[in-house]
Amino acid sequence: MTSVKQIFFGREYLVLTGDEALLGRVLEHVPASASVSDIGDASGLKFELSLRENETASVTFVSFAGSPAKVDVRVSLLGAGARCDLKGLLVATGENRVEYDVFMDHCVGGAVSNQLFKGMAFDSGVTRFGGLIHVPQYAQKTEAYQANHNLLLSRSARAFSKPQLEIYADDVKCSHGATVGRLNEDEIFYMRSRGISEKQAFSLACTAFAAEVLVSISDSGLRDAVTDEILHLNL
Amino acid sequence: MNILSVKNLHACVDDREILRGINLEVNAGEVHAIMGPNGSGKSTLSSVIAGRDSYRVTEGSVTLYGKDLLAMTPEQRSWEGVFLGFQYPVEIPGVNNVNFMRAAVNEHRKFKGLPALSAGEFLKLMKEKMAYVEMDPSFASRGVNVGFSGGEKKRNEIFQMAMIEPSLAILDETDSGLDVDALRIVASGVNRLRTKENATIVITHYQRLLDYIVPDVIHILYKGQIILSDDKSLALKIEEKGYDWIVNDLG
Repeated sequence: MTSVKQIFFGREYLVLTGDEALLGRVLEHVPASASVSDIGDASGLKFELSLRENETASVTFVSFAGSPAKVDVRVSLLGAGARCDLKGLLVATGENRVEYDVFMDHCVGGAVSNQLFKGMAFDSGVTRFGGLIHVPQYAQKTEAYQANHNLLLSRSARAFSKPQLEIYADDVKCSHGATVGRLNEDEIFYMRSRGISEKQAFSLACTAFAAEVLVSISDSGLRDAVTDEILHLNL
Repeated sequence: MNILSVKNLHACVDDREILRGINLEVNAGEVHAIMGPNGSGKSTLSSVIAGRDSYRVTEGSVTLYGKDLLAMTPEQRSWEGVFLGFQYPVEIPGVNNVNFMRAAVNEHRKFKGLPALSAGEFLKLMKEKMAYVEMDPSFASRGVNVGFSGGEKKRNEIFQMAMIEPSLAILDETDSGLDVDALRIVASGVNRLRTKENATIVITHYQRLLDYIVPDVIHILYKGQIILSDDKSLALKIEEKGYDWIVNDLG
C-alpha cells in the first residue's frame, strides 16, 4: 500500500510517496507551520497546479523505494510572471515501477518553468519519466527547461525517459536533456581506498545523486529526514 | 619490523604487462622513494597495492605485516593500514568532506573495535588535523575536492592521511602540479605524520620533494622493474643526468 502525503508550506509543496512506516518517520520532522494532507493513492495519483500572474510555486516529489508509483503531474501557467519549479526523485527497487508523467502547459507567454527529475533504479526496478512541455503559438517570451537524469544500480535495472517539447512560439528559451548512467567507478574506488565499505560508498554516492533534488526542500530538518531515508536504503 | 613485502610482482592491464617482477621490502620507520621515467609502472604499482581492479596480478605476492594484501578488498587494505595519496584525487560532488571523512574514520574505528566518534568529537579531530596542512575550515562543508585547485587537492590527501593515520602511506606523485608553497605545506604534513612505527613510499619524478621528505633509499623503476636502489644522493644524480645513464650503465 503506497501512501501519498502532501506537505504544503505556502509556496512550497513536498509530495512524498512510500510506505506508511517510512512516511511516518519523515513526517515527524514537519515544521508546525506546514500543513499535511493525504492526497490519494500513489498507484494513480493526479497532482494539479495552476499558477496565475506572478504566482510562483516550487514542488518537490520524492517517491521512496519499495513502493510503486504512477503519478500524473499537470501544471498550468495562466499568467505572465508565473513561475513553477518542479523537482522529483524516483527510487525504484525490487520489481517496482515508478512512473511520472508531467505536463507543463504554458498557456500564456512570459512564464517560466523548470523541471529536474532524477531516477534511481535498483534490482529489477524501473523508473519512467515522460515530460511534455506545451508552448502554444501566442505564448511568447516563455522559458521552459527540463532535465531527467537516471542512475542504473544493477544489471537488470531500467530507466525510460521521454522528453517532449511541443513549441509553437518562436521567441522562447527552451531546453531539455536526459541521461542514463551508472555510478562513477573512480568515486567508489576513492571512497573504498579510505576504508569506506563498498555498501556505504554506494549509499553515499546515491545520496550525492539525490542531493540536487533534495536541496530544494527548504526546511533543513525535513530535508535531512528525507536524505536519511535515501542514505539508509536497505539494499 | 617489516611492513610491506613485494615479491616478484607481475601485473598487467588489458594484455599489456606493466610490472615485470618487482621486489620491494619496506620496514617500519622507513621512507622509500620510487623514481623513474613516464610509463615505467610507478602508478601501476601503487594502484595494485591499493587494490584497483583494472590491473591484473599475474604472478608474485604482496604482503602487509605478513598478511596476503592481494586477497583483500580496497577497504580492507585501508583498515589494515594502507593509504594511497592519489596522483589525481577524485572529485565527489554531493558528498561533503565532513561526511566522507566521518564515514572513513568510523569504519576504521569499527574495524579496531572502537566506538564511533560523536559528531562533536569528530569535528574537533577534523579541525586539529586540518591545521596540519593549513586547510581553511570552510573546506569541510564543501564537496570532496569539488572546485579545489591542484594544490588544495593534494593537501586534502595529506589531511585525509592525518585523519586515518595509516601504517603505510604511498604518495603517488603528490608533488606534481604544486608550487613551492604548497609543496612545503604538503611535505611538512607528511613529515609530521612520520613515526618509528609507520612507513612512507614517495613516488615522484622530481628531486625537489625529496629535499623536504628525505628518503632512506631511492629505487629506480624502469620498464616495470626496479633496476637500481641507492641512497638519497641518487636523486641529485638523476636531476643532473636524467635516467639514461642508469639504463646505459646497466646495459
